Amino acid sequence: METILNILREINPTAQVDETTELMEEGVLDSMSMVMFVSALCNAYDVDISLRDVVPENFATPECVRDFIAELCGEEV
Amino acid sequence: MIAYNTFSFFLLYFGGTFLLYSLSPKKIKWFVLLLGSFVFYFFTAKGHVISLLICILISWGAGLLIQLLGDTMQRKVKQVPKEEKGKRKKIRDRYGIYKRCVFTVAVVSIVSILLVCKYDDFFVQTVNAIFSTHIKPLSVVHAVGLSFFVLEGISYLADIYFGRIEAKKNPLRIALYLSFMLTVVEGPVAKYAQLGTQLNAGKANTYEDVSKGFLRVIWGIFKKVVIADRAVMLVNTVFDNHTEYGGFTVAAGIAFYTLQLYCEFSGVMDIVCGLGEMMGLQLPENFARPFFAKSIRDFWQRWHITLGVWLRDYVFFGVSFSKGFRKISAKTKNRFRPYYATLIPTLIALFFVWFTNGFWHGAGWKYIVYGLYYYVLMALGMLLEPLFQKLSEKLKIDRQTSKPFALFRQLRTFFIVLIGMLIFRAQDLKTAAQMFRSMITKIDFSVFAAGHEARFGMSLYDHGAIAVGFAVLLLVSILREKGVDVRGKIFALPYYIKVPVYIAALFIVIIFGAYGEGYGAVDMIYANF
Repeated sequence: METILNILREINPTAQVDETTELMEEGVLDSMSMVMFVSALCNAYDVDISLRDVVPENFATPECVRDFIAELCGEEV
Repeated sequence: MIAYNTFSFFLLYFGGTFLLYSLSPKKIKWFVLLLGSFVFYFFTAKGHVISLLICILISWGAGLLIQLLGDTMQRKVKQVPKEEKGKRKKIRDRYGIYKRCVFTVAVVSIVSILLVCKYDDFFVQTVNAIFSTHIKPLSVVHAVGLSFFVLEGISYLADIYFGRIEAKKNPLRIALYLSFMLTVVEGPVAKYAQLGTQLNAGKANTYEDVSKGFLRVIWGIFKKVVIADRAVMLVNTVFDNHTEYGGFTVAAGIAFYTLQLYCEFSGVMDIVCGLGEMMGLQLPENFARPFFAKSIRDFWQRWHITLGVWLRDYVFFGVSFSKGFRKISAKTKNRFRPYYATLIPTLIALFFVWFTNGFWHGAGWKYIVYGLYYYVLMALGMLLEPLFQKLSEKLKIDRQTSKPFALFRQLRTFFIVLIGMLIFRAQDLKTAAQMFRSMITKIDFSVFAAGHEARFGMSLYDHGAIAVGFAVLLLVSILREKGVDVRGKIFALPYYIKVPVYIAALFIVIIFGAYGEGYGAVDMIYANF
């Protein structure tokens, strides 16, 4: 989880982010930073995320992102 | 072309359609809209309907085929036991390729309509200039609304391809979505899920819809005929005789053009959205007070919003999530610091967005430069972000809450937009550069000089009307920026106040609008794109 939060803080240094922050609704991520975020996740966890995966269920909060990445990796992250 | 603010449009096309739509049973409402839209399009396009018909047929046929392939894939995968993962993957891969092929051929075909009808002169001229050849362009008729229904056709297919919507079996349903009379000429560029479903649902309109929609129509006409149709006189004088002017006069010409374009385009959007509301339809918004923007990104999230959304969803995301792009992303991973490793692929994807944005606006190099102008500035801002961050920490500026800093950002964005407008309006790039130079180097305050001629074909009355119109526009914009629902408040007034307000609004537009001798109504600028 800390890796995910660190990536978010790097992309948006001014945002206050914790595990339950609503990433889109609270303006932490917009369309452009979403692509940067996905790209950083792919690099950090060595996974492949497609456009079909970028849906609110997977990216609403850092917790959702963690669960989604865990599903892709097949192990806890 | 039949403009949306003309009596012929209101009486001949919208009026009849609106009455029939309101009175007809729910089941046939969509068909009434289709008939009205086709009649309107046929006459406004002067019979040149082939491009639209081809786009409808491709969208319908390819949409059905993509849907069929997707459904077949799902059925075949379900028939294979879950344990046989390899076999299931093979089926998915095979049908994935089929779907991709159909989708690609269909999109290329639709884009080809645009390239042939809109850009053939540009391509031929470019080839002739490079190779000194004398090839003659095809000079195919540029159908009305071509740039808009092409975008909608592509979005319809992409949404089926990505499983967001289901393909429609009846081609007339697609025809209505692509040719709807209120969106076909200048947008807004709507997705099928936003517009097509509403059009085909045949939703009934209420008294509130008609009342609120009508007020928005009046507001849109006000922006267009009181401000835009007047500002155009000064704009044309300065831009058509740019060598005679410099300094503040050129700056005023650019500022007036910005005002003209905004009032013309957003005014037409208010008219079409208002007319849509009168029929109980919610069209997507295209403007959200763009001159309050604090950055270029913010500006483009408020200006021509539906084009920005289209570019984001189908170009930016399409490129960013493609397999080839993933490889670039993986390569930058170990070569740059984490911030830049993720930023560089984003900047590459953004190049496609801004190139498409510029090229979509017109067949000419100045439009490409117009798009790339914003790209370069945005890219620089993103690349230098860590430096700005450090600088603001050193200067102890809170970038989130500091009001002077917010004002600085707003003014900076406005200045950038003005230069963009100069590129956009000038005859060509050379003229834009000359005007920019003369604006900085020449001293010219003739825009303030007394005398009728010095007022650029505008009487004192015209100046006054623009000034009052602008003040009203600014006031309403500030209120709306603060979240005040101006129309809702007027609608909530008691009848004995509301009715005079409506009548007064109507008379203001009739009395203060720029009509008759000496005035030239501004063409719907975006209808030519």
